[in-house]
Amino acid sequence: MDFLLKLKDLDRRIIFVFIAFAVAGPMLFKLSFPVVPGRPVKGLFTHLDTLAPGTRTLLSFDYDPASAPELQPAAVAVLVHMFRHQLKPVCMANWPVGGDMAEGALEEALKIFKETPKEYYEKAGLPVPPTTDLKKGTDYVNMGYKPGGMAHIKGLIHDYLSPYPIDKDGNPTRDMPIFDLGNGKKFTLADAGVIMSYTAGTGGIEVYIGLGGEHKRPMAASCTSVNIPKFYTYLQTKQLIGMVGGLPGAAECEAIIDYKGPAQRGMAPQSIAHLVIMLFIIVGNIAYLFELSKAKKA
Amino acid sequence: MTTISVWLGAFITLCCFSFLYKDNPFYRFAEHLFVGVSAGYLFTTIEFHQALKPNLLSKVMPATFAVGKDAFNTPEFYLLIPAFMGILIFFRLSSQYSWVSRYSFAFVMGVSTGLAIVYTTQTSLIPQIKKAIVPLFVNGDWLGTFSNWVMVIGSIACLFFFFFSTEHRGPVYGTVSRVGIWFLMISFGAAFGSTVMGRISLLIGRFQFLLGEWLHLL
Repeated sequence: MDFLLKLKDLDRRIIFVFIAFAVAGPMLFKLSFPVVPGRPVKGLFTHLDTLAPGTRTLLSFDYDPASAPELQPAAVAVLVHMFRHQLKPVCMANWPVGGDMAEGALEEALKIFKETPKEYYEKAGLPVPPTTDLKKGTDYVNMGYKPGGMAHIKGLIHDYLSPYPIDKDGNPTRDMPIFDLGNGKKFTLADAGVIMSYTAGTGGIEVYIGLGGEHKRPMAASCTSVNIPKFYTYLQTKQLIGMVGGLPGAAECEAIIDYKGPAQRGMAPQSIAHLVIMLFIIVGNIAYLFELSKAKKA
Repeated sequence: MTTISVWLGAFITLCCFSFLYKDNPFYRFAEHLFVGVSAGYLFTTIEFHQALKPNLLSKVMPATFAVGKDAFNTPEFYLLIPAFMGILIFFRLSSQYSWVSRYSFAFVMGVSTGLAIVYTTQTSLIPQIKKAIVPLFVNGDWLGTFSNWVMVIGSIACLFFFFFSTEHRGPVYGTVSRVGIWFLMISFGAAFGSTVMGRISLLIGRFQFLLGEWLHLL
């Protein structure tokens, strides 16, 4: 039983090796676990399904590459779903490299959208989009980053275009068709069918929730796993209509859009790694209790 | 070009992973490279092209910096006031004149605090209190009833625990604050579990890159 005592002083590098094998093994052996969408993710997609084609949606990319493995797959999946439903996403960022993250997500989503077979639309009971060749400024737009946080977002509720005279690529936004709502009315934050933020920390969905009383638009969040317990409270208060939590949430999004991407492929390594961590916690506690009983006997 | 960027990405990733063994020059190289590249990229590509140019220069000097029809706009010279306040912040770099930057910081802090107080009340305080006032018996829904009891007991017990003007003792106060500790412990467990899940997700992302894009094993 002294073996248990030795385990208490196990070198952390051995634990790292176990975790590395737990992650790499299922990837190399192509293990796959079923993914069943939960209520928070379904809530978001159900709302998107109710929006009329052509509705502008606002996607705020409030993260950087450090959180990309968790948030990027969700961003891609939601964008694909929007393109398939002929919604028009307006992308922006409250984090400096958020504009670049949006650019990557749009590129990937457009590729998946173009490859969507016609059978998908028949199966989902959706009209086939008139074209798969979507145009920047007409069907979607990436506005890039703006500093200012809450003060900046507050201004967007009544006038979206003043702080954004140009988009991320430097194209003038004033005459872009995506901002023209007809009758000479220009798009503002209060016209978005949904406001969704991909939030890695501060300056994300909480800014939009804080201004919820002013823009009065339905909101949803995609957050890193660390933020899940905190953001559940917003779901409970119904301030959010849906939430995509971490990589498992992103995998649920991929399951809904019928696409096996990095998030779904990551679920087997995630589960196996969790099992290994649980095993280490249990063994560590047994060793601790054994040491305690040994000390009492002595 | 893609091949070079993938190999470079793989090399930097391995440099970072090498810290798991122990601190070493490869890790420090990656760390310094990250700080330098981030600072340079942030100022030149992002702050200048996405903030300073469209929101200040193109409005103060539209004929020179604005594009399209905006080039014919009337210059908005009042924007020079916030620009001047922004420049004052750079006095922070001088030990002799760093006090000058305090005027700008005071303005930023005043606005931020004012906004934060109002909107935090709207975001968290009022909706959370409202949602915590729930019926203790939901007709025909045992799960709902149980859930509401848990929420009410948890909310009250945790608030008791954070009441520090009396010692946590006695049959009522001591017991309720102990229940509060249990609720807090459970929430810490949930937070820890989520954090572990997040870190593993990031590791998965890197392994997908190394084994897939770099080594083509997936």
